[in-house]
Amino acid sequence: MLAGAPMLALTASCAGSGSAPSRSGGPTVTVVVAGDAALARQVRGRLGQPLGFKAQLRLASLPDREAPAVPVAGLDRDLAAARQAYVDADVTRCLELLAGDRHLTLLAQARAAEAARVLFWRLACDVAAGDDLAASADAGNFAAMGLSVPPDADVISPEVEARIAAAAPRQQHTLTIASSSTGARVLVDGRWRGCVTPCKLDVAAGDHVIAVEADGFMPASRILRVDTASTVEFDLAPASPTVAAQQWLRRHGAGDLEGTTALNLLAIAVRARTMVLLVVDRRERGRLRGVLTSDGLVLARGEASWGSAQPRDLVRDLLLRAQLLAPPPLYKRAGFWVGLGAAAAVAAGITAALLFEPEVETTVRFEK
Amino acid sequence: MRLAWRRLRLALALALTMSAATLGCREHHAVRLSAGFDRDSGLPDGYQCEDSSGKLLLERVKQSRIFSVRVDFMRVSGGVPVCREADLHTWCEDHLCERVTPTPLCFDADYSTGEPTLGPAVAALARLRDEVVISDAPDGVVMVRLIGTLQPCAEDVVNPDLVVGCSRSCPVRLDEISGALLLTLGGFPRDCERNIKVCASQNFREQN
Repeated sequence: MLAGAPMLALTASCAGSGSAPSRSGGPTVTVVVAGDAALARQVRGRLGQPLGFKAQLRLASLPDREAPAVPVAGLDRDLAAARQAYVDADVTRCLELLAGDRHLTLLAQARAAEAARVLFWRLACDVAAGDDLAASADAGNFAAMGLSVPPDADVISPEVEARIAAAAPRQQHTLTIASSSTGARVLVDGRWRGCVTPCKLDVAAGDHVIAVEADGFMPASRILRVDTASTVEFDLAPASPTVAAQQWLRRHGAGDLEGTTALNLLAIAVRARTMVLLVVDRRERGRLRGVLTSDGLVLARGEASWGSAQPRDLVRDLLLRAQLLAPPPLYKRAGFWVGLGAAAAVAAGITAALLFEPEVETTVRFEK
Repeated sequence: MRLAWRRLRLALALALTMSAATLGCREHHAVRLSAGFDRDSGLPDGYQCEDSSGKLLLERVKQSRIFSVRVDFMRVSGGVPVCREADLHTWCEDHLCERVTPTPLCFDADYSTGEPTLGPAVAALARLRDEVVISDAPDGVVMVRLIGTLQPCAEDVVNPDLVVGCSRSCPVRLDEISGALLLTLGGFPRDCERNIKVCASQNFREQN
């Protein structure tokens, strides 16, 4: 909906929700402005004007788009060297370069393609070295993990792919996966198989990477040697602002901007306990929508006409409705004296109309 | 805030409109006095009184050569009494009945030349036709009186002994009526001299 729209954040904490009061005595609030770039600039400008109520607004920037994955240090070099050693029939060198559980580490980092390359080239070297036992193990793991043959496999002996295809099906074991926060997606070897915690999965015997991920929590993974039915439990930690920002960007990219989860992620990302998201969209004829969240709860939603309303008025309205801002006394409200004056004027008019006796002029004259 | 000001302006406009409408509203009434002029003699009702010898009291003008006809208002306080002579006399014994000054209309008969006849007096009475007595009648309960006296208009106070004709209306609030108002006098011509004296008195009481 608003993908790519420039955004801006004003950050704060909130006295009403338990945080320290601001120097002005009222709550401190983070305001995030999203939507049409030109209108968002105007909103920002208007928010910079005096508020007229006791609160402090603070500006903060949202992280930009998700940074591309950083290459694993030395991996490409090692793979290239291993490939060259394989071509040169230097299998010892090849196996030295690809030894260990590097592929599992890569899987835990959701780098299935790199993990497939590591395991595939090691399998090739196993075959070339005539190590049938190791080749069977790696071929079985490759198949059990559901990895794909890498695109640079053209120089590989057909026997390698044949070993993968011929890998004997391994016994399945049931894994029970649970997490401290339910509803986390479970990834097995980097792939989601429709399991959301708590859930059970049948997994082939062997080494696997079990990972869970959930919005608002740090992703967690575990390398597991599966040889019997077992239970895996994850204790999920709250997401860091960086992770929350990445998770929010994925949701924002999918068009979810004002949902509760997206708002909570955004609040974490901008490090705010209390946050107001203002969305201004030219396509909605200048409607300004606002959502107030505090400590993970959506406390108030509202909207105003962009043409006549000031953004600060909408922010104040949201704070008042959430009772984070004490309402002004009756006599200090804008409409009080106006309303009182109007009522008095009307009452005076009605009283005058009721009590007034019209002047009568009577002309007395003789008949003709 | 803008809406509130709009409401205030609307209320003020409403109040001003109501006030203006109220203050600017004046009712206009018109009361026509019917004096009951006799078609033959040209004299109004209350001017046919005769003395004990059967002579018109108005004939006295031939000796005095002074005559004026005046229209005034007698204010009656304490409510609206019954119109009958006896009831009015009683009412004015108990309540304040007083002439409203100044006299709004008075015509002198012109006896400066010619033979002393009733003509100038009748002409003075005829001048009353279609004449405006007052454009803003007094408030409260009043009687309208039409007094003929052998005094000039310059003499403001009427001497009952010089009165030769008088008629009056019933006590009314002139601001509350419209249309004809009859001026008349009770009694028959032979015994109405006493009535015209009371009718023309300052306080509507019988003079001793």
